[in-house]
Amino acid sequence: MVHFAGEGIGKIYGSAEVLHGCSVELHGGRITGLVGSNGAGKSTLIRILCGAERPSRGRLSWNGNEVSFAGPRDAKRRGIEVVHQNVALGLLPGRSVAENLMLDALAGKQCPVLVSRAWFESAASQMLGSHLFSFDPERSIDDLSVAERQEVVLARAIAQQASVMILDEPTASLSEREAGVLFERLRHLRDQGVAVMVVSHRLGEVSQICDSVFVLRDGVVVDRLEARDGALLDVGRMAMGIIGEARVSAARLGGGFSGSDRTAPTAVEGSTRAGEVALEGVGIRPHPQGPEVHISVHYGEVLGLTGLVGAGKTELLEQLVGVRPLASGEVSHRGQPLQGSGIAAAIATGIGFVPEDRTRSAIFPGWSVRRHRTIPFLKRFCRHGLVHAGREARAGEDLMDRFDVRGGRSDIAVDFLSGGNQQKVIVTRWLAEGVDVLVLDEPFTGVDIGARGDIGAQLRWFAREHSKAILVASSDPREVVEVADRVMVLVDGRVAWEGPVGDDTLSSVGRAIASTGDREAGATGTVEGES
Amino acid sequence: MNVQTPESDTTLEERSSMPAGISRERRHSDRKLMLSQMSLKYGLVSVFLAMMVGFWMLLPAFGSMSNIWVILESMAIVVVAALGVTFSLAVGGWDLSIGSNISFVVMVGAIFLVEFNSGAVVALVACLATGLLIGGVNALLIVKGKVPDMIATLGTMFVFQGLALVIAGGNNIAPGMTLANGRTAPGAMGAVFNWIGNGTIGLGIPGLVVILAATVVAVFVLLELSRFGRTMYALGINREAARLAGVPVNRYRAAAYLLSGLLGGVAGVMLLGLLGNGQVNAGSPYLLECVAAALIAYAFLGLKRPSVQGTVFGALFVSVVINGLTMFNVPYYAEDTTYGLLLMLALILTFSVGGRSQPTGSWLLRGRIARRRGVPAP
Repeated sequence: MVHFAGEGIGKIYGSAEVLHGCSVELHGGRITGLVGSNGAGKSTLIRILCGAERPSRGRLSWNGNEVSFAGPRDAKRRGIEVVHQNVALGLLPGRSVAENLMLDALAGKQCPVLVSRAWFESAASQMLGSHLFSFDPERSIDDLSVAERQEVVLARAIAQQASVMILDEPTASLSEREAGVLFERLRHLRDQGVAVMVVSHRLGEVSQICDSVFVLRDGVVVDRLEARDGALLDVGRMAMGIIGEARVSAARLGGGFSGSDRTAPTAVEGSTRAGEVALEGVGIRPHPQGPEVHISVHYGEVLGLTGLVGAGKTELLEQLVGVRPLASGEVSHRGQPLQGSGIAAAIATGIGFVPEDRTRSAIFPGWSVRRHRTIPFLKRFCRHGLVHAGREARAGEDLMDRFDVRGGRSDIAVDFLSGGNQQKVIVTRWLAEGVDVLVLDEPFTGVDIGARGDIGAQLRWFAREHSKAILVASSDPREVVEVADRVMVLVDGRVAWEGPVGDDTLSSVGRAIASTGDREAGATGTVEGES
Repeated sequence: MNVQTPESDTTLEERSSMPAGISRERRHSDRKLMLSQMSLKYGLVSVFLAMMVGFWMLLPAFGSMSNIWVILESMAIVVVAALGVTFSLAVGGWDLSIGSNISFVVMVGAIFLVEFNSGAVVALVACLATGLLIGGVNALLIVKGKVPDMIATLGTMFVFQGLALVIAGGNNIAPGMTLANGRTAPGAMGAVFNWIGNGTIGLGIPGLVVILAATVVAVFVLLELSRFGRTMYALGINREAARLAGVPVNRYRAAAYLLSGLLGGVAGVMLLGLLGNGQVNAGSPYLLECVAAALIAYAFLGLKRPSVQGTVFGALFVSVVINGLTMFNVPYYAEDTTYGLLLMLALILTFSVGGRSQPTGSWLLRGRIARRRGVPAP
């Protein structure tokens, strides 16, 4: 069986040394995990393993012989397949499943010069048939769910008779049930002798599925765990490895906020009292044809909103803050209806919004931290229409000091910050500006554990000490239970469960979400391969 | 170099515990990085300065006051129009209609002055209004009609290039010409337009240079220092993020095309003054020159984005090269090739050399704030 290893791999990009000599091994018939916070070097390591980058140092070995890859195609020829986190990168939009499945074959030698639709479909169904995948090859990729698209990519990779299969964050946008199906497939591959590597933030999953795990921190393999005798891997030890002893977030809760007496109470803040309704939505439909939902967030609390991907969380939040037009119902802020729909009006009345996809919807590449700090409130940092550079700089420095954003001075471009620190900037600029309602959509995706703890603690602290109203949505129930005082579960656009956070909240939430799973499975029969 | 990276978070302790080989390698890579960063940031400016010195040493006349005015005059129209293009680039768009805009405005101005004998003020207003009108058509097409910017302005480019011919009956409009009804045209260029093209003020400062300076200052304040400009750049970089930060995106995009049109109008006024008559397709050559100047801006100080200072530098660079080559008796028809080569050099510096852009935000304000904070300026 195959044994593929990287020995002492180092990588330098410009001035940044991303990897300082990492050694990892992949064995046929085993599932290997790779965990680490954002910026730890996981992606770089994968890019090196799959031939997309050359290591600056160290060597790759294949069954004991040194190999080097001229490019991804070279690695593919060896049988190394990668399923990237963003599956859209590997798919042609607007084309059929069959065409997407045959992409690799199109570049191969067996491909006929003239390809017909019939050829595509027969070849594709042949490919699918032998691997327990069941989609209609004629369907357009655009009509598929994220999980189904991932299956297409996976099926294509499997069809290449890969001996090494690397998956980058394969479950990032999958529900628990979909992830379970994926894991079954991976175990199946493992049993066929494929060396599987899974990169993931979700340590629980990693411990369930992996036979061994490499923990990466700051470009170094800091720990290596081996599963013995069928026992699960130790999540706590992984977490400690990822965070590092110096960054235990709990210890920083007090310290991080000790200087925050400097928060100048804003006018809005003075007039708010804990317990009053801050933001209320009546008769809002998360799904256009779905039921109406009533949601209210109170001052002094963190309300958590959870549910599977597609349950309507984003739709609900975006209607609340005016990013998308209200399908029905109305939204009021402190008892006043939100006049003049649109996010600008919401911001003006003291509502902040952290969108789901940071890179796509919040980050301005090349812009400094301080520019990100001021852009939603630029008017307040201007005199006679000109941006007041000093005021802006002070606000930027203040943000980085108070909220422990690591990365240097505030005129550094956000591109140079890690994902977690970028997210801190995007979240805390609202808190620093003194908004009284903050709505966050999946604020913890692509954020390392350390920063996640920090952000969560800051949200809780601001809700309690400054009587802010905070609404956090996440498809991971654990994240929500961790940070919220009260939890709402959305299922297919309706509220399936609502209640304060207690000891058994997680299981209640789990049951509420799982109830959909049964319904869906019964109704549409889309679950397969769970046996 | 002040290159901050997440990697610089490693503590001294961690560094000293690294094997010696690593730090040697790191030093080597630091040097390599420094070179590529330096060439990215100062490459084009160095080339420019070296060229200036070279021309000056070989051609004493190059540095004479009169030649400096020639260079500034020759770049004046390009800069004003290229700043218009810069507005469209700032919001993440394109304005390819700028050359036709100039052609059309020149014709409109000439017709008002020569055929209608309207006087300078009315002609000026007509010219600027025409520029705004073209900008308005672009804005309507792009913002309301959702036509992709390049294609939309390509369309208006053809339309207004054609209309410039239509309104003039396909001929030049010159004072003293015979009109269609057989009479002689009543108007003349007049003192104002003559001054704009050929007059001077104070110690021999040409009128074109006065307009150039005023426009550059105004646009710099608007685009680089004001809230308005900051917001435009924001939506040029990431429109969705700007929208979610509360920016009325479409209003700003429309404003950018209107301003681009207006600056095209100003450039048209300048060209009409310079030519002294309405020539067919007078503005056409300016499209390529403006695009070149606005794109050379991307290589200016490694900014990798449109900027007022970069556009001015781009136009200056091109003008100096053309001026020097002309003094060396290189024929005029080599000019386009020169533009192209300079543009290619700048684009290579922008996109091929050095991976990431420089880490800091506004280069203009950086030193000042750093000093105030007691940190040595980078």
